[in-house]
Amino acid sequence: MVLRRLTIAVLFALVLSVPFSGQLAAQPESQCFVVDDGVCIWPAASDDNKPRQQRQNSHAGEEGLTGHDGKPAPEHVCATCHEEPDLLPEGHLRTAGMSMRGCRICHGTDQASSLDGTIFQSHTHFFAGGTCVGCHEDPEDPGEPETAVCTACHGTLEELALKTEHVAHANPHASPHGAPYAECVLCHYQHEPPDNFCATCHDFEFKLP
Amino acid sequence: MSEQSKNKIGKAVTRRAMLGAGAAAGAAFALGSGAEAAPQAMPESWDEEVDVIIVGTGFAGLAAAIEATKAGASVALLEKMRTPGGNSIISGGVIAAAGSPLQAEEGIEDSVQTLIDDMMKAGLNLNHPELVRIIAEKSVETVQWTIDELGVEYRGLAHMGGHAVPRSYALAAGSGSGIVVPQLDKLKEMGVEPRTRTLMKHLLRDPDGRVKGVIVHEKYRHPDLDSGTPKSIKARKAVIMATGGFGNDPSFRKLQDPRLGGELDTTNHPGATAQPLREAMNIGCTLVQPSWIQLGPWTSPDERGFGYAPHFVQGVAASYGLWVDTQTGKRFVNELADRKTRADAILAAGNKCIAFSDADGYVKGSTGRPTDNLDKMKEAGVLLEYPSLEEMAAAHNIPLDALKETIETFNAGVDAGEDSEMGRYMSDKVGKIGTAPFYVVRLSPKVHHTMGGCAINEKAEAIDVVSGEPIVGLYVVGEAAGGVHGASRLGSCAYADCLTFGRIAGQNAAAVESWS
Repeated sequence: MVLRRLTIAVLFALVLSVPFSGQLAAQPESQCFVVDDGVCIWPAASDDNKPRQQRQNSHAGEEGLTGHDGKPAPEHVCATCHEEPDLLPEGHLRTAGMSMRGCRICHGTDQASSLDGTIFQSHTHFFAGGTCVGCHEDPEDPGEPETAVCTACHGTLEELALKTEHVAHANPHASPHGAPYAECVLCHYQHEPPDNFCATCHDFEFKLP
Repeated sequence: MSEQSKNKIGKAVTRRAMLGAGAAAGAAFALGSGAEAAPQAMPESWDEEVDVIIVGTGFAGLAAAIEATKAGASVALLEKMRTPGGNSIISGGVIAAAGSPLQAEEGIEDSVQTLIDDMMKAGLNLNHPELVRIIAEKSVETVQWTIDELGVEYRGLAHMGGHAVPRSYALAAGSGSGIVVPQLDKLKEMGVEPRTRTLMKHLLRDPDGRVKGVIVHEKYRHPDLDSGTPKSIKARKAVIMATGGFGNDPSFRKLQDPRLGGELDTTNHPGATAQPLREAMNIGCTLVQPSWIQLGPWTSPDERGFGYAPHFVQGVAASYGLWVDTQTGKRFVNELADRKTRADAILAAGNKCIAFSDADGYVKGSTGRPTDNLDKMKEAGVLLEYPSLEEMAAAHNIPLDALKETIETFNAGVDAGEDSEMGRYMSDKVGKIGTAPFYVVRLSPKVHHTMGGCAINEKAEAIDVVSGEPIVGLYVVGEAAGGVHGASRLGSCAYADCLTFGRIAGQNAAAVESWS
């Protein structure tokens, strides 16, 4: 947690150097934004380990606030979701009217101020140029994507297993329980914090994106 | 007292609750379902119609789905959890077959009757013999079906406790996924996919006596029984309940055996609860033998659930090592006895027992298993390695001289080809114990299998609690059915049970005449 806060502090120091962010003040302690009933949470600062029930509410609801209204992400403006000023760190520059491209100037995955690992993975995907339809065939009815959708970009399960073969406890991508236990969506939630599905039964303390 | 005994045959409470008498008692026994026992009214219209509804996606449910689909029935395959497979997919990977081709290859003599005798002995003769016979008679056919129809791969024979001879086909995958995944693949080819996160909230039995459908909750979030969206599905032919046991339902466990409440760990997945059995009782099924709850003797207190321990405790130490009571340094049970005998013996010894092997034994017992198992087990703190017998004894407070004597006696038995102390089966692969390093797993039994469930007949039809006759339109298979294994199930017999009766139920359900 401390490390995460430090990281965020460093990121904000970097953000300060970005030309148009002059009004930003680095106040890492103000990162804790637990949001009003069921709208969303700011994962960077959430200590809530069981926010899964918020998934349904997080981006559902009124048109224009859904994030799932079929528009590709770059057309989205941050403010459609982050309308409440409290959703952004205190002192963050106003995002109203800003496109995703604008967000990516500071927070793209190749930027030093990338928020990868501190925000929902859906945002990481957005910042990397992903779109709703990139994962959800029908954004009007966004179900959980098939594993093949994920492996199309991230490599086969075998390749992923190679990357994690030295992880402590067990290789999370080579479960002896077979393909149904290798579904990406069991752990890697995109619109809420990830969940270590193996820990349902095992003492495996995986840290996962 | 009378309230409680009446509750065990659900109908009694049902009537009371309907009459409005004893409503408080009815609520008390509803146990968290949030509703009293009472039959559900039939819906005026159905949201969906199929021929056969199958509830549960373990071995039994998937086998039933394959057979029903093959026979031309349309199928709805329901699974309440996020993943299919239930306990089956995380299970140990062995299936019994008596008089099999692999046994012939190894020169092992076996027969259907020997398997029946073994199952009845472990079951303390409480088993319903007609069901045992079906499993034993079809055991070779069932294994052959997994090979021919599903392409399942096996790595050889294993010797499970309580079996007279090695007769258990061990899956190459080392886990029940070696059958569940091919079953799912087969069904996908046939156009059937499990509907995950779909809870069977209620069974629907018409006042005319027939089971005609179910109420499900789609997008169910375990364990919140009120979560999800209700929907009715009509079963034109039948409903097959393959809903598993209640090993992970401490309150129901405690009701059946007050010693087995919340503190005890289990090898079962979180979905193994009694809710489907409660629904079955609510529509008039007969619950039989529910107090026989099996503890697995091969689990460790140093990890949760089934874990790694059984691979060593059963796979290695039971055949090639020894189990000893750390307080005496002596063996305390035949390491290949049935599960109940062994778990009872561990508990009687105060839960202070270990399983150990030497280096040679480890190699022999882990043939065909992943080579990094040893490291993983050590890393997890489940398997402890000692460079000498002395250090092993010191670490576990075992009297060294007694331990050495135990090993000497066993080694003499290896020479003689007979275990004079415990009468354990000795294959000619068993060697003397003595090569360092030594490996240890501490023992602590955990809830593994619930023998009780709905009474069924040879056709897998559920039996009505009042009439004693089959309930038209309802089949119950696998761990959800009771009476098959009596007091205690033998290892690798659940696979045979689930696949055999799952197939029988699927075939029979598809042949039932539609009611509309």
